[in-house]
Amino acid sequence: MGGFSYLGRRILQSIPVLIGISLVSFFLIHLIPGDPVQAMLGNHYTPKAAAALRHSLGLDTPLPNQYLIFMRNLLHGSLGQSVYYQQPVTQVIMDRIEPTAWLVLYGSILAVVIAFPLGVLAALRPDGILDQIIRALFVTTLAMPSFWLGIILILFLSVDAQLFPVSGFGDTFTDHLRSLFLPSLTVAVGFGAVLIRSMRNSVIETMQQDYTRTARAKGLSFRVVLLRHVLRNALLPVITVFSVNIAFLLGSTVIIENVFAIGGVGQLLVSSILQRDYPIVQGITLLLAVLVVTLNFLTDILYALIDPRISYG
Amino acid sequence: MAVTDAEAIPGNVPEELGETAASRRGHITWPLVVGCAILALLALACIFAPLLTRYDPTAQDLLNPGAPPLSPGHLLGTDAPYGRDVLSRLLYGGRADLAIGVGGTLVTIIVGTIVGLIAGYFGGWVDSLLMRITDVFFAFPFLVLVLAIVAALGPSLFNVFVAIWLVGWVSYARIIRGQTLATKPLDYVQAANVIGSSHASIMRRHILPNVISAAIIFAMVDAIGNILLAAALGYLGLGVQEPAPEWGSMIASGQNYMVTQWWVPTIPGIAIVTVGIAFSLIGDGLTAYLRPRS
Repeated sequence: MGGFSYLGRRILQSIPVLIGISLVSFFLIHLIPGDPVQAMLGNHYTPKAAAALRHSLGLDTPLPNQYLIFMRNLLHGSLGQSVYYQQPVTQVIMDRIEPTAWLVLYGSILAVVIAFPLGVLAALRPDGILDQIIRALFVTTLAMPSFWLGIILILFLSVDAQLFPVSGFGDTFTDHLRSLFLPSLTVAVGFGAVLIRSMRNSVIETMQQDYTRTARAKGLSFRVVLLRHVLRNALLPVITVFSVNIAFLLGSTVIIENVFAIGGVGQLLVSSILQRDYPIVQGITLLLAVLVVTLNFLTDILYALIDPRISYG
Repeated sequence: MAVTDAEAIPGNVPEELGETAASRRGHITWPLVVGCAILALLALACIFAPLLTRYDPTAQDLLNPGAPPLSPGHLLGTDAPYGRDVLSRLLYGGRADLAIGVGGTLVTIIVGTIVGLIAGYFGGWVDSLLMRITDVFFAFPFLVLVLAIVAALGPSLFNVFVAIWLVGWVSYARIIRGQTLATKPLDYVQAANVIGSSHASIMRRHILPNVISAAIIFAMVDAIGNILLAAALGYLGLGVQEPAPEWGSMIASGQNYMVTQWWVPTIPGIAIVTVGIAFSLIGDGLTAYLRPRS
């Protein structure tokens, strides 16, 4: 029973945030100085085209009305019409979602693969040599522009060593795995750095717990204690860190997509900005925020399911 | 803000009663000194760029493109295909990135601190409203929201500032609110309340000095994030516009010629990493100095 009220409260909490997201996305188009219609049409401006676009964007009605129209369309699953592609925004985005989904997932998996062993290694001897090296790596990666790292990787591994394609998404499953390895690795280095630190701190803390000491005292080997007692408990806080940084992860994929030209939503966002296709910019911004809220929500539920200590009350 | 990073604020506990701000200061450690020295050197080099290089950063020398580093007259070489002096572009371009790191962060820390103080101190519906607003901003990937705002306002360095100012304050508001909530029930704050100090005076004199160090420490992480953001926007062609120099846009223009002129995209990247490490060191040093017991 308690579980349902926790779920219900968590859903209720998301509603004002979702309304806020819709308001921010709505007002984006009103930040454009001067006439947004003129800005969007640019060289193709004619009074007739302007009137048509103004009407299709609902800009010819008073502001509160515009928001209501925006919301009504949103609830019907419509994000408007792309000015450049002359297609529904949702359609244009859906056509490009696969490479982006790949990059996010692949990048997350690689981040975990990098972060877990390194985080545990650093925690085994806090302030030891390994810990210091891993810490220095962490500071350096956090200061490193991801797009620059991507370019360096392309230079060494694609151009010089010819191990990976320079750009693109590929056609088959194995193509995707190969084409997206470097972009995903670039995402993983930045995201993994954050995970390494939380993994390290979490493992150190768990190793100092009484149950860990008891397990060691009763004669279990270090390996068994580490696997059975420490790692299982140390994983929980890492899930939270993962959840908190989902927005950061999605943001970094936008840049990486442009470095490697994988043709996903992030690349669409930047090209639409340069083409002044504001309905697309608005749509992607809104969708990414909703995705963050949804993923945060799911990880919170997952956390509650895994950790029996969480009270649902 | 690149990372929503609660762990960057160690010792999130306000100090106990009876300690003055001065008595709990720690020692100045080497990371603080080294970090400040690196940053000061770089900043001075960028400010006094005209004294260090005789080339105009946008001046083209089409007869000498892609000269390697240590070429006569060009310490860091020239770029391709324009033959512009890389050292000049690096120093003049650094002005934009460092300005964003300092100017972007300074405004957001002030605004965020005020919002966080008000939310934490008054509580109730004021707090709920302000915190729901920060929730909304946190839902957007920071980079994407800044991109969208710059897209609407038009690509330029100034609009990158505006976008960061509009969005960046939320992290500070959250940090300061949490600290204020923990400080408010302490005896000396209650005492000030009893003797009839005004709300503004209590916030300024009794709460602010106890909560600000967490924000200052976070600001060092945030400054790195803002510089990375400015560079990313420059890289995507949405920040400083060519031919004006900026580290991110230098990397972008160098990318096309990286196979033959690897130094053109590499050098500005090293500059960004150096600034980032300097801010990290300062952050570590400040943590030791402001929160010695954590």
